[in-house]
Amino acid sequence: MDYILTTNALSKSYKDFKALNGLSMNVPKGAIYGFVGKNGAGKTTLIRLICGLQEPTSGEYTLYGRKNTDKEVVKSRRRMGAVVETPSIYLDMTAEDNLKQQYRVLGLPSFEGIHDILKLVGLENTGKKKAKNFSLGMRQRLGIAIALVGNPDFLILDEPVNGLDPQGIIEIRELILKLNQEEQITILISSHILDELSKVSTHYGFIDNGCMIKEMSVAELEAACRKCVHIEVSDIKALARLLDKMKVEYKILSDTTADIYAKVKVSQLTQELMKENCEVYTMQEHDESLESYYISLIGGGKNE
Amino acid sequence: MNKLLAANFSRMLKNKFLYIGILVLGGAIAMQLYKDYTYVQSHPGEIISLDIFLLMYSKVAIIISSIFAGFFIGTEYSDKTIRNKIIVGHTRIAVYIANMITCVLATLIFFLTPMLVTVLAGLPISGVFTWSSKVLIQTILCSILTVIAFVSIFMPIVMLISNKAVGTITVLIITSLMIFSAVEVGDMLAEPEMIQGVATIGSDGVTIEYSEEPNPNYLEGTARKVWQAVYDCLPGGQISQYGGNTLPQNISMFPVYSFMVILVSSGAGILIFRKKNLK
Repeated sequence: MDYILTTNALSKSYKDFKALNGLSMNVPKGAIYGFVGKNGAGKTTLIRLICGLQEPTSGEYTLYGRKNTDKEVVKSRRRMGAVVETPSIYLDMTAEDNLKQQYRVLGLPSFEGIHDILKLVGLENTGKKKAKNFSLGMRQRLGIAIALVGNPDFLILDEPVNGLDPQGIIEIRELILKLNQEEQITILISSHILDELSKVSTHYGFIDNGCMIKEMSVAELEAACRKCVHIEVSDIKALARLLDKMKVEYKILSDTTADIYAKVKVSQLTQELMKENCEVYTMQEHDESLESYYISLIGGGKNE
Repeated sequence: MNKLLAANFSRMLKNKFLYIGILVLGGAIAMQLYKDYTYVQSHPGEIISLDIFLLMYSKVAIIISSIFAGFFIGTEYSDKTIRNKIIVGHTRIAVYIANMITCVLATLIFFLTPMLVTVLAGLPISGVFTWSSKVLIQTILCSILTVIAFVSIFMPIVMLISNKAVGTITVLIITSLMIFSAVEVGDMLAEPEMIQGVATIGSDGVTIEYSEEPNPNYLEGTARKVWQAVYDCLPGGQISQYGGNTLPQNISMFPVYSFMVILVSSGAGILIFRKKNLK
């Protein structure tokens, strides 16, 4: 698999506080990578490091195959755009002037394409209105528009829907999907709004206390979050024989526990197991969402 | 670097403060010229000497440029747009130098505005330059280097303080201190060696004779050398020495001192800015 970004044991300390603690992650090409973690978990710190705004204390990252210690990494950065925390826009300029300014920063020969970008983010009718008079959602979209100047193929969005109203959230979500599906832009989104992430992400990275806890694709997450019946019995072999006979998908977890991926008739299953001298101790239905999966990963409230 | 300069110049030309500064300085020098013109009109035989006007507002120009730099660079931090430059692969050295060149250019605009107004408005009202062209050119070129040295000193301040208001106020205070403390040092060095002492009535009983005695405030020996060196080396001291009727005593060394100040302050600024955590 091609990776646009990989990090290896990346750490960042501010005096005695370790914001990142040996974090390793891999962002595949073409993915919408949902970077999940609570506030203060280290999401923004990682993004600042990747964007070159700060230097790692130890560890390294590779962007388009170039290590951060390589002087040529600046060339890799030319292929990316980012909105870190709040959008970086000149408040006393119009949307168009802001984009023209970024065109100059990139040294693009003409202002061709400005109106396409403004249309893409839905700001084509803002005219002479200055960015300081924009709503939060409009500013966020202008920030994304600036990040899109120069046709980057990797976009980093740090908390892009923070503080937006429901309409603004939908607009940003649709924009993210459009950029990924129509423009083939790989996107790394950090957020703690899990429900929103679950609507766009193709890959996930779960971070807590500066460490990567788990990385997985959406298919792996769906499997992990699959609806199942968790059962605890006295004889796991008897249970397996019965489930095979019933042609039901299941997964043995231990000598006494298993997950059954089907709707089972509890009374029938219990009766059949009793015939095999197998007692049923507990039976629970599991239906995990991204949120509950995340909570189970970081250990509930113990890390709070 | 050229890309950053193009972006900076475009923003600079849209900056209202640039035009306010030009108007204030140009207007002030025009008023002074008019004052001199009305004086000369009522005092036949007097002439308008334009030399004195060239650097009359150089200190004000530097103070205005420090405020401009505080606002101009501070906006990059307050609007967080400095990140847009780093994220797309511009090196921090390039960002620093491009910002410095932009501030130097703005400062030179402020600095040269009174000169331009002096020439454009002074010559038509029969103003004359009394200095030789050599002195004029040497003074202007050296003072331009002094101005660049000033900018190189306040650049690290505005580039390292992320808060726009704090950065602007700090650079304004430091620039003012540099200028006004240099004026104080200039006054100390200008103290006469001897001062008028006790007055006595002469032997004829009519005339009053004054004895001369050493000035206790006169700096001599090592102290004088040290203060003179400080006065000559620092841009605040240099700018205070221009514009008199004679060339500064050590003007030939001023460019060397200015280059040293530019190298040291810019080097230190770039080194620290390279390690600065940007948020």
